[in-house]
Amino acid sequence: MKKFLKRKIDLLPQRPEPFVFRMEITPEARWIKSALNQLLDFSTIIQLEAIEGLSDELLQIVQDLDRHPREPKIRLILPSSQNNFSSSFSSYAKPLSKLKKSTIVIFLASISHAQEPSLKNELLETIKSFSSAGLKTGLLVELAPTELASGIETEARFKAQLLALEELIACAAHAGALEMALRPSLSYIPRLRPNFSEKTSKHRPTEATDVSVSTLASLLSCLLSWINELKARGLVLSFEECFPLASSAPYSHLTQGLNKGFSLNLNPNPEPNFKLNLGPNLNPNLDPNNFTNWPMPNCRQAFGSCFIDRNGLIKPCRLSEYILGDLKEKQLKDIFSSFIFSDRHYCFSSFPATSSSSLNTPVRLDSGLKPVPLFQLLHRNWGSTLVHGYDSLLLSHKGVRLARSIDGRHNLRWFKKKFGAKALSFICGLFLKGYIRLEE
Amino acid sequence: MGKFAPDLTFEKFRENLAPDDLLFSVPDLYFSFRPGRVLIVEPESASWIVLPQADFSFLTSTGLINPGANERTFRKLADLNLIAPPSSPSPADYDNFLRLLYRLFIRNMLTINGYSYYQPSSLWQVQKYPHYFNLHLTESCNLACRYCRVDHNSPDPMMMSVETCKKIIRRVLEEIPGQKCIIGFHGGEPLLNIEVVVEGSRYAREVAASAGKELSLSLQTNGLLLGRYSQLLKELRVDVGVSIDGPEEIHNRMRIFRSGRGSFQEVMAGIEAARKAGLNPGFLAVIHEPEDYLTVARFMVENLQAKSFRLNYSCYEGRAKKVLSFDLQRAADFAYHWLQLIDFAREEFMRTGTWLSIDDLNLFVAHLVSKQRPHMCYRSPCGAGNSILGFGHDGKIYPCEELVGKEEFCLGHIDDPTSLGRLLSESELLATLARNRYVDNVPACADCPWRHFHGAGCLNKSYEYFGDIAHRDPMCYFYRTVFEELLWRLSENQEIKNLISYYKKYIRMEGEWL
Ligand code: SF4
Ligand code: SF4
Repeated sequence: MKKFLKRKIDLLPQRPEPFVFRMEITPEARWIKSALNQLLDFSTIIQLEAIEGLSDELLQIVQDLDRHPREPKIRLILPSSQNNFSSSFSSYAKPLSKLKKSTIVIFLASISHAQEPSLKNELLETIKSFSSAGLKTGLLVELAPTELASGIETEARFKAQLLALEELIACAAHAGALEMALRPSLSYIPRLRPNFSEKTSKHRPTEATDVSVSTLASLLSCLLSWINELKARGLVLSFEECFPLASSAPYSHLTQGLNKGFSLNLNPNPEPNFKLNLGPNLNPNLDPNNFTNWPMPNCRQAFGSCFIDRNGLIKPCRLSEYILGDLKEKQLKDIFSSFIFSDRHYCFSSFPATSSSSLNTPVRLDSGLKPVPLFQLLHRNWGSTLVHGYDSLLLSHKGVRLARSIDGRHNLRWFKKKFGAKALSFICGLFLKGYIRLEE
Repeated sequence: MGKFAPDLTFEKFRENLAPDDLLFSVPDLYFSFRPGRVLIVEPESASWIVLPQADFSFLTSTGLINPGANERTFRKLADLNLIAPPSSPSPADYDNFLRLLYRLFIRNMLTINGYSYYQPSSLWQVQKYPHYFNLHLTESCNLACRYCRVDHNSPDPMMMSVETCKKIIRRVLEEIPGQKCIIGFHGGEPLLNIEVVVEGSRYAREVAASAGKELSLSLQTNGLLLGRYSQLLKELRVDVGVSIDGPEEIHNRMRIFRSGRGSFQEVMAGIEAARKAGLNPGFLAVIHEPEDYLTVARFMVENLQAKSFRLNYSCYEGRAKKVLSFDLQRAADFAYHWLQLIDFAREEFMRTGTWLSIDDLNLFVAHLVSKQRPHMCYRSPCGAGNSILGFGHDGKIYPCEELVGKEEFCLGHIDDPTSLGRLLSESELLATLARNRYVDNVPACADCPWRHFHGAGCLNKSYEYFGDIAHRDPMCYFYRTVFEELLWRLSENQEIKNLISYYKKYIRMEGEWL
């Protein structure tokens, strides 16, 4: 973090180290244990994706994580693709249910789980028995709209898939699943991704065919309106990762709304007949050597969260080919301190003032109110990160001092007296972002 | 809009609302859906509402309810004025719209100008001083139930002496403040120590009278000795609870003599004798097979003519650990069959015109239709050490009857000179329990939508199953399921609120919660 310390202290980096780690794990990988030990210092959420299913070794890893004095939440993704996945998982439900940390087991499914009755039943039974054992469960479905993006009646076929999916999701909720999310299958991604010639992983999926952007865009708009329909019925479905091209669908790690932002890497308004193919010129703005010039995505790639693949390579996101470092060779903290950060800063001053015009003053705060914290504070020597769920805010040192005194005991009058009038805009901003509750 | 009184009425709400008030959505709500309706739960204040689909869609379209979002969106009331929820007949029906806002507001599902509605904290408050004192008169028993929490094998009968009993009674009545006091005789089988029951009861009445306290005495028995002692218990004015697990073939599966023979006939004879003596015993059954819920409930009503009884599921404790299977499907199965008790109670009401009182169904309903907490058990921080104290046969003091005999929970001894009041207020152990069991400090319950409804459950159960007090309830899924289902049922059929039966005396039911 030397780089930061040279900066003016209140000017915070846009990209500090992440606090949500998503990680692929296999029982053989030797580097995992030491990686997890390093991760624990950083994370509030560790998501382990057991890409080859569960095994005693993996259970052991999870149990060690559970015993560690630090308290990140654990998310475990189990692939429901092997034969008889339910019986191979069932013996693990009991030991997993004894974990002390907040744990959620997420079953990774595909559209065939929605369409084939036997697979569907197996999946639902598994969700039910894991839930019954006291575990929080979730469902994550991988979609591959590009596989449909050719031939006739593409949209009709996609809608039929969504309908089947809707039923699966409703049944999963009934079986006890608390979270539902979608993500694109990797087969969908390479065709849309710029090709960075260097610094990319060697595992490139083969056979990238051209896909009509307009077809894809129409599928994605189907998807979004379907999700909004579900939302209006009280069924919350979100994206674990963004669907490139789905311009109103931010990458959001499961929980968040679909109301703002855009996905990374792509022109949000593609020309209707523009053909996508793989190549470095896809988006001239994207210079892989100059990360700071990338369009600012609304996702947390490489700052709020990052992804560690099965080989220990750290990437901003599972969908990204940009490699930040190799955990087998380097320490996590070195990887992140050598990472380029943008100059933008984000704290204290950027919240709406409580005194000026009505647009800027959505809240008329009575000075008798008391803010109650709903966040965690991750201390760093450059300042702090406020974490609430999957979201975070960077704070300067002054912000940290203020945030630390938010304990539900002091009222706003006190904050104003102690930190000045600006404190009120800060607190107001925290309220709007859901980091605090105000009480009398 | 300015400040709100805790008991804000709709009329006052409407009066106070100004066109430029800002309505904010609240993040992190929990939603559940059924055809045509949506259930919303606000986890922080344990509030809930079921809305018709049309109202819900209207609210999401305005952004006042924003499923899945973690930021607040806001609308000026004036901008919404012209729109009324689609379910109301016309935009002129502005009142309906305001009422909808009111209902959301008092449930903390909407904030206005930054204000949340005041929520009484009685749901997580605990009492200052215990009022229920549970004495283990002996650890031995004349039965050998397969699931007993006491796995007692030693030849020592572990009897409480009269002297110890009197000391406990005197000290709790004199040293612990509070007007009301209940002394419960438990065990083992307390009637095996009849001398202490008799002496203890008489002494308790004397001391209570001189200390000016209201005293109730209770005793939980397996019923075998009721034939011999019912008359005596009647004279002592002791309330008697009998453990009977249901009809003969269910009861005899578990509640057996050392020889292995079932005890049903003897227990029924005991109940008969108790009734003859003029006692009105209460009944407790422990359910091991979820399918038995209805059979047992029917048995209680038809064979025992009981209007009020308690059905507990068996727990991972003592002998049960070896005998019963605690398989994965357990919580789901228990929840499914437990919920059928609701329909059973309704049918009984139609047949007889009175509502059954089934513990803990009544308690759960009471929690859901009010913001009060009439009973200190099962929700953490629970009654252990706050409203309850347990005493071992040897005079050792524990926070709760369920913890008696577990050394790590021992608070002290009745012979200690420190006053009981001080013992409680200065106890490190109680402070740790209060802190670690507070549901917001139980890591596994962190994101649970039901955390402030259920409060991580019973600390003893967590301790027995996980070996750790800061853990969730082992039957977590049971609670998640039954709370959600009860909310749906309450919204479909408000009659069900009558299931709270005798808790009615203790809580104020607010019409708005339904
Ligand atoms: S025990 Fe389970 S239901 Fe109860 S608060 Fe904890 S997570 Fe929620
Ligand atoms: S420890 Fe369990 S049984 Fe005892 S008061 Fe607490 S919740 Fe009730």
